[in-house]
Amino acid sequence: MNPFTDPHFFRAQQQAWSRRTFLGKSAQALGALALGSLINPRLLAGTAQAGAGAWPGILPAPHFPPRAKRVIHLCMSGGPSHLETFDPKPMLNKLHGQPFPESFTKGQQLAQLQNTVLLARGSTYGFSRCGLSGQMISDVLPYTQSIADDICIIRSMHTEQINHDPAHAFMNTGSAIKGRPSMGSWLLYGLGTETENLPGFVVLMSNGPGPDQPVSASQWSAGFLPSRFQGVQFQSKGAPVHYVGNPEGVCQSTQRQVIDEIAQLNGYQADASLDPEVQTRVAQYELAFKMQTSVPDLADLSKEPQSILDMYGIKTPGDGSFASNCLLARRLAERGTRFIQLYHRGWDHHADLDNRTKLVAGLVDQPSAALIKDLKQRGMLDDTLVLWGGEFGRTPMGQGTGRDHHINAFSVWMAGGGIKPGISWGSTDELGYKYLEDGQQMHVHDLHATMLATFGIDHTKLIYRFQGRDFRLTDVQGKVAKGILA
Amino acid sequence: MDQFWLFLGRFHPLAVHLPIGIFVLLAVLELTGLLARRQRFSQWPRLSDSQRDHILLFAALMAMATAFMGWLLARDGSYDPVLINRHRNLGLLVAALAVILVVVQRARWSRVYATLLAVTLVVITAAGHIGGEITHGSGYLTQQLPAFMRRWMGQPPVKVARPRAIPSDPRQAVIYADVIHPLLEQRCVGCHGPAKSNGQLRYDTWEQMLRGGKNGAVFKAGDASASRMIKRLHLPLDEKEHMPPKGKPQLTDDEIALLEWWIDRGASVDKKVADVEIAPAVAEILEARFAPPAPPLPPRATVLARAAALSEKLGIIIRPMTVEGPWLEANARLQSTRFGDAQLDELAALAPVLQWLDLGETAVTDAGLGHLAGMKNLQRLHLDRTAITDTGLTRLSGLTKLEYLNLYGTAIGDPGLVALQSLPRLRSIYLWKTHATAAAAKELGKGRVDQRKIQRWRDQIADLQGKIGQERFDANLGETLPPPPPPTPPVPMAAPAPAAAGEAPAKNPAVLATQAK
Repeated sequence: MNPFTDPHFFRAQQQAWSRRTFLGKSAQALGALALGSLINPRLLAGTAQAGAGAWPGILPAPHFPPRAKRVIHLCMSGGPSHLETFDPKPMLNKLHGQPFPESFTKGQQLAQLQNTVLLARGSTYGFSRCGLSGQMISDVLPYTQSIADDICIIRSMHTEQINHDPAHAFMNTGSAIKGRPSMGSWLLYGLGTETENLPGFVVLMSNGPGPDQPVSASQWSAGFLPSRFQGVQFQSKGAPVHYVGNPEGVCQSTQRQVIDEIAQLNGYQADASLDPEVQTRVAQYELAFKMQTSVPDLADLSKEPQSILDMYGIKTPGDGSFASNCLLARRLAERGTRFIQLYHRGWDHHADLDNRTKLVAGLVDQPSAALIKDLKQRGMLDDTLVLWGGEFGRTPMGQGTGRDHHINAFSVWMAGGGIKPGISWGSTDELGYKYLEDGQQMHVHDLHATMLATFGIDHTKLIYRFQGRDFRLTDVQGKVAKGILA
Repeated sequence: MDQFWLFLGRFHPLAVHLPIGIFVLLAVLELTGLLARRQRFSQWPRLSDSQRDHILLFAALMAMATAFMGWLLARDGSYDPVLINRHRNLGLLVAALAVILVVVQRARWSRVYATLLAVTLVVITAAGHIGGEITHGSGYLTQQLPAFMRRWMGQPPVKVARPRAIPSDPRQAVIYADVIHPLLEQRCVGCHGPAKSNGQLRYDTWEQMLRGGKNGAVFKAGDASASRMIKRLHLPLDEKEHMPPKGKPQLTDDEIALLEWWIDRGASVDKKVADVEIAPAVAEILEARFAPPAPPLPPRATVLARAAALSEKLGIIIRPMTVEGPWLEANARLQSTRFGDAQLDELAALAPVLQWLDLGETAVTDAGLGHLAGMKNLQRLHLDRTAITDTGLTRLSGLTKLEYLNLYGTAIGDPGLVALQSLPRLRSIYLWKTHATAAAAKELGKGRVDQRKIQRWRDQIADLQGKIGQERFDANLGETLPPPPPPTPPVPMAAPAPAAAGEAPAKNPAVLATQAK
């Protein structure tokens, strides 16, 4: 229940369930239990409550003073073009329609543009200097332009995966191979949650316009971490969670008795098996019970004043739009959810780039900026880290009327949570093809390391041992971009 | 050659323990020998005359060698002459007694031997004590004598060496007496004082300091950079002339800044802080030095145990801020209105170690904010959407470390902001949905951003930029004619055009907007 007595909770369970312990268990069942309870007395004590309540986090304390307490990840699924949003390239504009210099592309991996004639494609939209910081932001994002002084634009992002699903996996887990925990799960595992009534890791989805790439639920999987750390997807339309109300004839006190009874039975099983999944089940029953009241309260947007709805650009509250989701994200953040991930599917512009960029920007631009402003006026931007960006960028070479996937350069922005506001970090070459190695390059691992740093976590020290190997979010890499930490 | 003798002389404090040890052990063995004559103690060690001969001979040789080294060391002249004279005489006496003991023992005059050995021990004790006073300063031995033993021995209680009461207002402090002299006392007087005056320099009194050392005056009033003592402070640590010598505790940057400020302002002995001009940097240092000492913090383990109990009891989150130190953050928001003034009172048990406190959306009231008074180290405080009013804000005036204050959605107004004027470190305040006006908020922010400090940092950046510019290597191999221009490449952009270098965003204000097509 609390971080001071409980730091070795999962270590104990892992030791209790390692292969050797398992083999030895038939003979040494008592010994294993005794060891487990020595390391963590709570494994045996209070069985009915085992695993219930908020998880306090594996880290007894942050490694250094934290700044951020929660993340809101505005995931622009499909891969927004950095050349139409945050990375102006006058030289590319000059070269528009001409052959793309071979010196840039020779021997490089391309997705759908493989073996085609490569022509440079200039930016569709103009850029303006914005705010006191003078950051360059595309005119297609007028609302984002208005928060230029609050955000840190990172133009030197690069990734290793050129197709959507593995690239999302890479962005979420630091590995293209499935089965690793996503960053929300890592944070939850490390720091726990600050709410007992709502999940610590919530995912919301919106889409439009046009044909969108699917996003699989494995993106918010807890991987090899116990499954209580996985993301919980809420419905964007209607009630966030189905069947959360009691059926006819069942009252809350009856429900409480049922939950307690099940928890006790599960407690016996947890004692016998030391399986963390049993504890996950207990925790989920308890959480679900609390969500019967907390979710309707969360989803009740009727108390939000019209001015706030207008600020986000919400036409009908709870209509499943990105705007409505942003408002929900703020309400989740207020209630202590640690990691909130909003996917907006609609940025995969292989064709009709000009129109579709404008359309999707029209859906996400205003709510994104409104979220920042709303968090700021509530004093929450200081400890809420907001990340806006896709899984990769798009080629500076045209693909008919669009652009292809691109891994060597893309742009994201971060705000709040101990990130310096109003600065640009990193840059790309004069055609926007590749990040510059100027000390400000930002690999996905570096982004993860930096995000963990804002929580006071040393990314090399948040580790989970699985199948005989120590795993971490940044694998064996990751460098904290100290220059963007306030 | 002088250097060699001095080198040898410095072995005196090391070698001196050898004859002392031998004589003490000898005395102990003689006593056990006396007892061993009785039946009961017959197993106890007893020296034979031959053993005695050899031990005494060795002791006498060591005593003479040590005395010689001591004499060499004393020639250096950096010690208190009175004490050194006494110590020298007693040391020579010990050496002489040791030699006489050898002769007496050879003659087997056992009664004379016993008497002389006792005398030697007394003289050695006296010589050793004076030696200790020379090295560590007089009174060193009894300085930490507990008061009850002092009373028991009939000694007067020691007065804490504080010439005058330090005024609580730094502006009323006499610069030399209250700032400079205590600093010199702490850092310099050990080697430049009454016990030891290296370089014939003493800092223990104003007159001595004025007199200077063997190289003359140590400071030039009105010009710190031309003052010898300041120059030596700024020498690299490895430099022989650097003071204090490598290995001794060094002055901090703040302390050096104080010395420089005092000398630059005329090095007066009686002027008060208020009498001279103070740079803002110096004012900050002075403020910190005159601040009352913070009460000691409880150890981390105690804090965490207490925090765990409270967290369990109140149902709130209490986490350590980092892996070291006792600092905590507490979050009561998740208890909502179940957390009120009574619970805050209980949480106040952790007051001195709380750095972040979230009381947003709880039931705390103005009265409850009184419990925050002890939270002197609080940096972040959430009070948003609580029932507090301006009255409550007056209770926050002691939170001198507070940097972040969230009051959004409360009934506070402009009078409350006035009460917050006294929070020196406040950097962000959230006032959405309160009665506070923009004018009052602006008034609160006045002077919180120190333009002079920013200018100082800008100067430092410029200075460092200059250094970066100078750090280079040029190899000049003479001029050669440029090669003929290469043929125009088929693809125009194969080589990066130099003009592109200036196009980096956010750096070239000339590029305002670029429009494609």
